[in-house]
Amino acid sequence: MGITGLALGVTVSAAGLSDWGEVHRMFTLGLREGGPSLSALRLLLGFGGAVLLAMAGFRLVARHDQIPVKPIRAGTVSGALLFGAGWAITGACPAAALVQLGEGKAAALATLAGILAGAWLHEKARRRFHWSRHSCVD
Amino acid sequence: MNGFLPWWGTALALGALTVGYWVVVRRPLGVSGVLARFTRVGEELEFDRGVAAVTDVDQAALEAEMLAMTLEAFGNVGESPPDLVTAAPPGATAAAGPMEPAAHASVTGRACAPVPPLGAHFTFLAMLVAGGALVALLRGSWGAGLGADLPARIAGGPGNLGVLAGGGLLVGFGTALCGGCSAGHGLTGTGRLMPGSLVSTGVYFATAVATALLLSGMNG
Amino acid sequence: MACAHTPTCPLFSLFTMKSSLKVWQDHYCMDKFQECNRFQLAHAGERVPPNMLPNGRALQVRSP
Repeated sequence: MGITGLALGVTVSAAGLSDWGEVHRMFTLGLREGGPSLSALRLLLGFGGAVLLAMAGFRLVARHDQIPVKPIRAGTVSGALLFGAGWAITGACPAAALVQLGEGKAAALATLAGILAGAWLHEKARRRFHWSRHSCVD
Repeated sequence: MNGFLPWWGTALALGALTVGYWVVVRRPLGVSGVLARFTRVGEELEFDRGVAAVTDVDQAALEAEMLAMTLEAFGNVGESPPDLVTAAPPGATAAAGPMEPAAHASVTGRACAPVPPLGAHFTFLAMLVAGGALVALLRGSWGAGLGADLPARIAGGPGNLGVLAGGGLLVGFGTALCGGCSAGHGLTGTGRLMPGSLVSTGVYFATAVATALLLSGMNG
Repeated sequence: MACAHTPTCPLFSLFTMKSSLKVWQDHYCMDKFQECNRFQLAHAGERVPPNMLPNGRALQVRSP
Protein backbone atom coordinates (compact mmCIF):
# COMPACT_ATOMS: atom_id res chain seq x y z
CA MET A 1 0.00 0.00 0.00
CA GLY A 2 2.79 2.39 0.80
CA ILE A 3 4.70 1.55 -2.36
CA THR A 4 1.69 2.02 -4.61
CA GLY A 5 1.05 5.34 -2.91
CA LEU A 6 4.59 6.40 -3.68
CA ALA A 7 4.35 5.15 -7.26
CA LEU A 8 1.07 6.97 -7.78
CA GLY A 9 2.47 10.16 -6.28
CA VAL A 10 5.54 10.00 -8.48
CA THR A 11 3.44 9.29 -11.57
CA VAL A 12 1.00 12.13 -10.90
CA SER A 13 3.86 14.55 -10.40
CA ALA A 14 5.93 13.34 -13.33
CA ALA A 15 2.93 13.36 -15.62
CA GLY A 16 2.10 16.95 -14.81
CA LEU A 17 -1.27 16.17 -13.23
CA SER A 18 -0.24 18.31 -10.26
CA ASP A 19 0.65 21.27 -12.46
CA TRP A 20 -2.19 23.75 -12.81
CA GLY A 21 -1.12 24.82 -16.27
CA GLU A 22 -0.84 21.29 -17.60
CA VAL A 23 -4.22 20.30 -16.21
CA HIS A 24 -5.72 23.46 -17.66
CA ARG A 25 -4.20 22.61 -21.01
CA MET A 26 -5.75 19.16 -20.80
CA PHE A 27 -9.19 20.55 -20.06
CA THR A 28 -9.08 23.25 -22.71
CA LEU A 29 -8.10 20.61 -25.24
CA GLY A 30 -5.36 22.87 -26.46
CA LEU A 31 -8.01 25.05 -28.05
CA ARG A 32 -6.75 28.20 -26.39
CA GLU A 33 -3.36 27.68 -27.85
CA GLY A 34 -4.26 27.62 -31.49
CA GLY A 35 -5.72 24.19 -31.81
CA PRO A 36 -5.01 20.71 -30.46
CA SER A 37 -1.48 19.47 -30.83
CA LEU A 38 0.39 16.52 -29.44
CA SER A 39 1.82 18.55 -26.60
CA ALA A 40 -1.57 20.04 -25.76
CA LEU A 41 -3.17 16.60 -25.79
CA ARG A 42 -0.35 14.97 -23.85
CA LEU A 43 -2.29 14.50 -20.65
CA LEU A 44 -5.51 13.70 -22.42
CA LEU A 45 -3.92 10.91 -24.40
CA GLY A 46 -2.13 9.80 -21.28
CA PHE A 47 -5.34 9.43 -19.35
CA GLY A 48 -7.22 7.90 -22.24
CA GLY A 49 -4.39 5.48 -22.87
CA ALA A 50 -4.33 4.55 -19.20
CA VAL A 51 -8.03 3.71 -19.28
CA LEU A 52 -7.57 1.50 -22.34
CA LEU A 53 -4.60 -0.24 -20.76
CA ALA A 54 -6.55 -0.74 -17.54
CA MET A 55 -9.43 -2.26 -19.48
CA ALA A 56 -7.10 -4.63 -21.24
CA GLY A 57 -5.18 -5.42 -18.06
CA PHE A 58 -8.30 -6.20 -16.07
CA ARG A 59 -9.55 -8.53 -18.78
CA LEU A 60 -6.22 -10.28 -18.95
CA VAL A 61 -5.42 -10.84 -15.28
CA ALA A 62 -8.62 -10.16 -13.39
CA ARG A 63 -11.41 -11.25 -15.67
CA HIS A 64 -13.32 -13.20 -13.03
CA ASP A 65 -12.37 -11.09 -10.05
CA GLN A 66 -15.11 -9.60 -7.95
CA ILE A 67 -14.33 -5.95 -8.13
CA PRO A 68 -16.97 -3.94 -6.25
CA VAL A 69 -19.60 -2.60 -8.59
CA LYS A 70 -20.31 1.08 -9.08
CA PRO A 71 -23.88 1.48 -10.24
CA ILE A 72 -25.44 4.74 -11.28
CA ARG A 73 -26.91 6.32 -8.18
CA ALA A 74 -28.74 9.47 -7.23
CA GLY A 75 -25.62 11.54 -6.73
CA THR A 76 -23.67 10.24 -9.70
CA VAL A 77 -24.39 13.06 -12.12
CA SER A 78 -24.66 15.95 -9.67
CA GLY A 79 -21.55 14.87 -7.82
CA ALA A 80 -19.60 14.58 -11.03
CA LEU A 81 -20.74 18.07 -12.07
CA LEU A 82 -19.38 19.57 -8.88
CA PHE A 83 -16.19 17.57 -9.06
CA GLY A 84 -15.51 18.52 -12.65
CA ALA A 85 -15.98 22.20 -11.95
CA GLY A 86 -13.82 22.05 -8.87
CA TRP A 87 -11.07 20.16 -10.67
CA ALA A 88 -10.92 22.73 -13.41
CA ILE A 89 -10.77 25.59 -10.91
CA THR A 90 -8.17 24.14 -8.61
CA GLY A 91 -6.31 22.12 -11.20
CA ALA A 92 -6.34 19.30 -8.70
CA CYS A 93 -8.23 16.12 -8.11
CA PRO A 94 -7.81 14.73 -4.56
CA ALA A 95 -4.68 12.77 -5.42
CA ALA A 96 -3.10 15.73 -7.18
CA ALA A 97 -3.79 18.03 -4.24
CA LEU A 98 -1.79 15.73 -1.99
CA VAL A 99 0.99 15.50 -4.54
CA GLN A 100 1.05 19.28 -4.78
CA LEU A 101 1.53 19.43 -1.05
CA GLY A 102 4.50 17.14 -1.40
CA GLU A 103 5.90 19.36 -4.12
CA GLY A 104 5.98 22.20 -1.63
CA LYS A 105 3.14 24.17 -3.18
CA ALA A 106 1.81 25.88 -0.10
CA ALA A 107 -1.37 26.98 -1.87
CA ALA A 108 -2.35 23.31 -2.02
CA LEU A 109 -3.16 23.59 1.67
CA ALA A 110 -6.11 25.77 0.73
CA THR A 111 -7.24 23.23 -1.85
CA LEU A 112 -6.91 20.36 0.60
CA ALA A 113 -8.73 22.24 3.33
CA GLY A 114 -11.55 22.75 0.87
CA ILE A 115 -11.59 19.10 -0.16
CA LEU A 116 -11.72 17.88 3.42
CA ALA A 117 -14.40 20.40 4.28
CA GLY A 118 -16.41 19.33 1.26
CA ALA A 119 -16.20 15.66 2.18
CA TRP A 120 -17.19 16.46 5.75
CA LEU A 121 -20.08 18.59 4.56
CA HIS A 122 -21.30 15.85 2.29
CA GLU A 123 -21.49 13.34 5.10
CA LYS A 124 -23.44 15.81 7.22
CA ALA A 125 -25.84 16.40 4.35
CA ARG A 126 -26.07 12.70 3.60
CA ARG A 127 -27.26 12.00 7.13
CA ARG A 128 -29.52 15.00 7.32
CA PHE A 129 -31.29 14.27 4.04
CA HIS A 130 -30.99 10.49 4.17
CA TRP A 131 -29.04 10.09 0.97
CA SER A 132 -27.68 6.62 0.45
CA ARG A 133 -24.08 5.61 0.98
CA HIS A 134 -22.09 4.80 -2.07
CA SER A 135 -20.86 1.52 -0.81
CA CYS A 136 -22.13 -0.70 1.93
CA VAL A 137 -18.76 -2.12 2.72
CA ASP A 138 -16.54 0.87 3.28
CA MET B 1 10.01 23.48 -20.19
CA ASN B 2 8.51 20.11 -20.62
CA GLY B 3 10.00 17.85 -18.04
CA PHE B 4 6.85 15.77 -18.03
CA LEU B 5 6.21 12.21 -19.03
CA PRO B 6 5.24 11.63 -22.65
CA TRP B 7 1.64 10.58 -23.10
CA TRP B 8 2.48 6.92 -23.44
CA GLY B 9 4.58 7.02 -20.27
CA THR B 10 1.64 8.40 -18.32
CA ALA B 11 -0.67 5.87 -19.92
CA LEU B 12 1.59 2.94 -19.06
CA ALA B 13 2.25 4.06 -15.50
CA LEU B 14 -1.36 4.84 -14.60
CA GLY B 15 -2.71 1.77 -16.35
CA ALA B 16 -0.23 -0.51 -14.63
CA LEU B 17 -0.90 1.08 -11.25
CA THR B 18 -4.65 0.71 -11.60
CA VAL B 19 -4.53 -2.99 -12.41
CA GLY B 20 -1.54 -3.67 -10.17
CA TYR B 21 -3.24 -2.11 -7.16
CA TRP B 22 -6.16 -4.49 -7.54
CA VAL B 23 -4.00 -7.54 -8.08
CA VAL B 24 -1.71 -6.84 -5.13
CA VAL B 25 -3.92 -5.08 -2.60
CA ARG B 26 -7.30 -6.41 -3.83
CA ARG B 27 -8.88 -3.04 -3.40
CA PRO B 28 -10.02 -0.76 -6.22
CA LEU B 29 -7.61 2.14 -6.60
CA GLY B 30 -9.18 5.35 -5.40
CA VAL B 31 -8.24 8.42 -3.39
CA SER B 32 -11.32 10.49 -2.58
CA GLY B 33 -12.89 7.85 -0.35
CA VAL B 34 -9.65 7.31 1.52
CA LEU B 35 -9.21 11.02 2.12
CA ALA B 36 -12.80 11.38 3.28
CA ARG B 37 -12.25 8.80 6.02
CA PHE B 38 -10.05 11.32 7.78
CA THR B 39 -12.94 13.73 8.21
CA ARG B 40 -14.54 11.29 10.67
CA VAL B 41 -11.65 9.59 12.39
CA GLY B 42 -13.55 8.37 15.46
CA GLU B 43 -16.14 6.47 13.46
CA GLU B 44 -13.54 5.05 11.12
CA LEU B 45 -11.46 3.73 13.99
CA GLU B 46 -14.55 2.05 15.40
CA PHE B 47 -15.27 0.56 12.01
CA ASP B 48 -11.70 -0.72 11.80
CA ARG B 49 -12.16 -2.44 15.18
CA GLY B 50 -15.18 -4.23 13.74
CA VAL B 51 -13.16 -5.38 10.75
CA ALA B 52 -10.36 -6.58 13.00
CA ALA B 53 -12.91 -8.56 15.02
CA VAL B 54 -13.43 -10.78 11.99
CA THR B 55 -10.08 -10.69 10.25
CA ASP B 56 -7.34 -10.13 12.76
CA VAL B 57 -8.12 -13.00 15.05
CA ASP B 58 -6.99 -16.50 15.69
CA GLN B 59 -8.61 -18.57 12.96
CA ALA B 60 -9.52 -21.45 15.24
CA ALA B 61 -11.17 -19.10 17.72
CA LEU B 62 -13.03 -17.43 14.87
CA GLU B 63 -14.27 -20.75 13.56
CA ALA B 64 -15.36 -21.82 17.03
CA GLU B 65 -17.26 -18.58 17.50
CA MET B 66 -18.83 -18.90 14.07
CA LEU B 67 -19.98 -22.41 14.81
CA ALA B 68 -21.44 -21.27 18.11
CA MET B 69 -23.37 -18.51 16.37
CA THR B 70 -24.51 -20.94 13.69
CA LEU B 71 -25.81 -23.31 16.35
CA GLU B 72 -27.61 -20.50 18.07
CA ALA B 73 -29.22 -19.36 14.84
CA PHE B 74 -30.02 -22.61 13.11
CA GLY B 75 -29.82 -25.38 15.63
CA ASN B 76 -27.77 -28.46 15.01
CA VAL B 77 -26.04 -28.44 11.65
CA GLY B 78 -23.38 -31.10 11.24
CA GLU B 79 -20.54 -31.27 8.79
CA SER B 80 -22.50 -33.54 6.46
CA PRO B 81 -22.70 -32.81 2.73
CA PRO B 82 -25.28 -30.08 2.30
CA ASP B 83 -27.20 -31.50 -0.63
CA LEU B 84 -29.42 -33.55 1.66
CA VAL B 85 -30.50 -30.52 3.65
CA THR B 86 -31.50 -27.97 1.03
CA ALA B 87 -31.98 -28.03 -2.70
CA ALA B 88 -28.98 -26.75 -4.60
CA PRO B 89 -29.53 -23.11 -5.58
CA PRO B 90 -29.69 -22.30 -9.28
CA GLY B 91 -26.30 -22.08 -10.89
CA ALA B 92 -24.69 -24.30 -8.30
CA THR B 93 -21.93 -26.58 -9.33
CA ALA B 94 -22.06 -30.23 -8.39
CA ALA B 95 -22.11 -30.75 -4.62
CA ALA B 96 -18.70 -30.22 -3.12
CA GLY B 97 -17.18 -32.65 -0.65
CA PRO B 98 -17.84 -31.93 3.01
CA MET B 99 -14.46 -30.37 3.74
CA GLU B 100 -14.22 -28.22 0.64
CA PRO B 101 -15.35 -24.60 0.67
CA ALA B 102 -18.94 -24.38 -0.53
CA ALA B 103 -18.63 -23.89 -4.26
CA HIS B 104 -22.29 -23.29 -4.97
CA ALA B 105 -21.99 -19.56 -5.30
CA SER B 106 -19.59 -19.95 -8.23
CA VAL B 107 -17.11 -17.82 -6.40
CA THR B 108 -14.29 -17.52 -8.87
CA GLY B 109 -11.49 -15.04 -9.06
CA ARG B 110 -10.15 -12.83 -6.31
CA ALA B 111 -12.55 -11.29 -3.84
CA CYS B 112 -12.23 -7.74 -2.62
CA ALA B 113 -10.14 -7.39 0.51
CA PRO B 114 -11.66 -5.84 3.63
CA VAL B 115 -11.27 -2.12 4.20
CA PRO B 116 -7.65 -1.46 5.18
CA PRO B 117 -7.17 0.06 8.63
CA LEU B 118 -6.94 3.82 8.93
CA GLY B 119 -3.21 3.59 9.57
CA ALA B 120 -2.60 1.84 6.27
CA HIS B 121 -4.70 4.41 4.48
CA PHE B 122 -2.77 7.19 6.13
CA THR B 123 0.44 5.64 4.85
CA PHE B 124 -1.04 5.52 1.37
CA LEU B 125 -1.89 9.22 1.44
CA ALA B 126 1.43 10.14 3.02
CA MET B 127 3.25 8.31 0.26
CA LEU B 128 1.31 10.29 -2.33
CA VAL B 129 2.73 13.40 -0.72
CA ALA B 130 6.17 11.80 -0.59
CA GLY B 131 5.97 10.95 -4.28
CA GLY B 132 5.38 14.57 -5.11
CA ALA B 133 8.24 15.62 -2.88
CA LEU B 134 10.57 13.11 -4.51
CA VAL B 135 9.91 14.30 -8.04
CA ALA B 136 10.01 17.97 -7.08
CA LEU B 137 13.33 17.53 -5.32
CA LEU B 138 14.78 15.65 -8.28
CA ARG B 139 13.60 18.38 -10.60
CA GLY B 140 14.83 21.06 -8.27
CA SER B 141 11.40 22.67 -8.39
CA TRP B 142 10.32 22.15 -4.79
CA GLY B 143 8.11 24.95 -3.53
CA ALA B 144 7.73 26.63 -6.89
CA GLY B 145 4.20 28.10 -6.91
CA LEU B 146 1.21 26.20 -8.17
CA GLY B 147 2.61 25.69 -11.66
CA ALA B 148 1.67 28.14 -14.41
CA ASP B 149 -0.38 31.12 -13.39
CA LEU B 150 -3.95 30.84 -12.41
CA PRO B 151 -5.99 33.08 -14.70
CA ALA B 152 -5.24 36.72 -14.02
CA ARG B 153 -8.77 37.28 -12.81
CA ILE B 154 -8.38 34.88 -9.91
CA ALA B 155 -4.62 34.93 -9.50
CA GLY B 156 -2.65 37.01 -7.11
CA GLY B 157 -3.53 38.11 -3.63
CA PRO B 158 -5.44 36.42 -0.85
CA GLY B 159 -8.50 35.95 -3.03
CA ASN B 160 -6.47 33.28 -4.74
CA LEU B 161 -6.54 31.01 -1.72
CA GLY B 162 -10.25 31.57 -1.29
CA VAL B 163 -10.84 30.44 -4.84
CA LEU B 164 -8.73 27.34 -4.34
CA ALA B 165 -10.54 26.50 -1.12
CA GLY B 166 -13.88 27.03 -2.82
CA GLY B 167 -12.83 24.84 -5.70
CA GLY B 168 -11.59 22.29 -3.22
CA LEU B 169 -14.99 22.34 -1.55
CA LEU B 170 -16.55 21.43 -4.89
CA VAL B 171 -14.05 18.62 -5.34
CA GLY B 172 -14.56 17.24 -1.84
CA PHE B 173 -18.33 17.40 -1.91
CA GLY B 174 -18.58 16.28 -5.52
CA THR B 175 -16.34 13.24 -5.18
CA ALA B 176 -18.20 12.15 -2.07
CA LEU B 177 -21.54 12.62 -3.82
CA CYS B 178 -20.63 10.71 -6.96
CA GLY B 179 -18.61 8.13 -5.09
CA GLY B 180 -15.20 8.49 -6.67
CA CYS B 181 -12.50 10.65 -8.18
CA SER B 182 -10.27 10.57 -11.24
CA ALA B 183 -8.66 7.38 -9.99
CA GLY B 184 -11.67 5.62 -8.53
CA HIS B 185 -14.03 6.43 -11.37
CA GLY B 186 -11.74 7.59 -14.12
CA LEU B 187 -9.28 4.73 -14.01
CA THR B 188 -10.62 1.79 -12.02
CA GLY B 189 -14.31 2.23 -12.69
CA THR B 190 -14.07 2.89 -16.41
CA GLY B 191 -11.41 0.21 -16.68
CA ARG B 192 -14.05 -2.22 -15.47
CA LEU B 193 -16.83 -0.56 -17.46
CA MET B 194 -18.81 0.22 -14.33
CA PRO B 195 -21.94 2.18 -15.28
CA GLY B 196 -21.62 4.64 -12.40
CA SER B 197 -18.02 5.33 -13.35
CA LEU B 198 -18.67 5.71 -17.05
CA VAL B 199 -21.37 8.26 -16.36
CA SER B 200 -19.36 10.06 -13.67
CA THR B 201 -16.25 10.25 -15.78
CA GLY B 202 -18.16 11.55 -18.78
CA VAL B 203 -19.94 14.18 -16.73
CA TYR B 204 -16.98 15.38 -14.72
CA PHE B 205 -14.78 15.54 -17.74
CA ALA B 206 -17.29 17.50 -19.80
CA THR B 207 -17.89 19.86 -16.89
CA ALA B 208 -14.17 20.34 -16.36
CA VAL B 209 -13.69 21.18 -20.02
CA ALA B 210 -16.55 23.67 -19.97
CA THR B 211 -15.28 25.26 -16.76
CA ALA B 212 -11.72 25.46 -18.03
CA LEU B 213 -12.79 27.07 -21.29
CA LEU B 214 -14.88 29.53 -19.33
CA LEU B 215 -11.97 30.35 -17.05
CA SER B 216 -9.56 30.80 -19.92
CA GLY B 217 -12.08 33.05 -21.62
CA MET B 218 -12.18 35.16 -18.46
CA ASN B 219 -8.44 35.55 -18.58
CA GLY B 220 -8.72 38.16 -21.23
CA MET C 1 -31.90 -14.93 -7.04
CA ALA C 2 -28.94 -14.11 -4.83
CA CYS C 3 -28.01 -11.06 -2.84
CA ALA C 4 -26.18 -8.54 -5.00
CA HIS C 5 -23.68 -7.78 -2.28
CA THR C 6 -21.99 -11.15 -2.21
CA PRO C 7 -18.85 -9.92 -4.02
CA THR C 8 -18.01 -7.45 -1.29
CA CYS C 9 -19.69 -8.82 1.81
CA PRO C 10 -16.98 -9.94 4.23
CA LEU C 11 -19.34 -12.38 5.86
CA PHE C 12 -20.21 -14.05 2.59
CA SER C 13 -16.56 -14.93 2.09
CA LEU C 14 -16.32 -16.01 5.72
CA PHE C 15 -19.22 -18.41 5.17
CA THR C 16 -17.42 -19.89 2.20
CA MET C 17 -14.64 -21.18 4.37
CA LYS C 18 -16.37 -24.07 6.04
CA SER C 19 -19.18 -26.22 4.77
CA SER C 20 -20.85 -26.03 8.19
CA LEU C 21 -21.36 -22.32 7.62
CA LYS C 22 -23.02 -22.85 4.27
CA VAL C 23 -26.37 -22.80 6.00
CA TRP C 24 -26.05 -19.01 6.39
CA GLN C 25 -25.54 -18.61 2.66
CA ASP C 26 -28.36 -20.99 1.83
CA HIS C 27 -30.76 -19.22 4.13
CA TYR C 28 -29.83 -15.60 3.59
CA CYS C 29 -27.46 -14.82 0.72
CA MET C 30 -28.93 -17.21 -1.80
CA ASP C 31 -32.52 -17.05 -0.67
CA LYS C 32 -33.98 -14.69 1.91
CA PHE C 33 -31.37 -11.96 1.62
CA GLN C 34 -34.01 -9.34 2.27
CA GLU C 35 -34.26 -10.65 5.80
CA CYS C 36 -30.55 -10.15 6.24
CA ASN C 37 -29.78 -7.33 8.68
CA ARG C 38 -26.70 -6.41 6.69
CA PHE C 39 -28.70 -6.11 3.50
CA GLN C 40 -31.34 -4.02 5.24
CA LEU C 41 -28.79 -1.63 6.69
CA ALA C 42 -27.01 -1.28 3.38
CA HIS C 43 -30.27 -0.69 1.62
CA ALA C 44 -31.15 2.02 4.11
CA GLY C 45 -27.92 3.72 3.19
CA GLU C 46 -26.25 2.99 6.49
CA ARG C 47 -22.83 1.58 7.07
CA VAL C 48 -22.80 -2.10 7.96
CA PRO C 49 -20.69 -3.07 10.98
CA PRO C 50 -18.15 -5.54 9.59
CA ASN C 51 -18.89 -8.15 12.24
CA MET C 52 -22.66 -8.07 12.03
CA LEU C 53 -24.22 -11.40 11.18
CA PRO C 54 -27.29 -11.61 8.93
CA ASN C 55 -29.47 -12.13 11.96
CA GLY C 56 -28.22 -8.94 13.54
CA ARG C 57 -26.01 -10.56 16.14
CA ALA C 58 -22.41 -9.37 16.40
CA LEU C 59 -19.58 -11.77 15.77
CA GLN C 60 -17.13 -11.28 18.60
CA VAL C 61 -14.23 -13.58 19.14
CA ARG C 62 -13.69 -14.14 22.83
CA SER C 63 -10.00 -13.83 23.65
CA PRO C 64 -8.63 -17.04 25.16
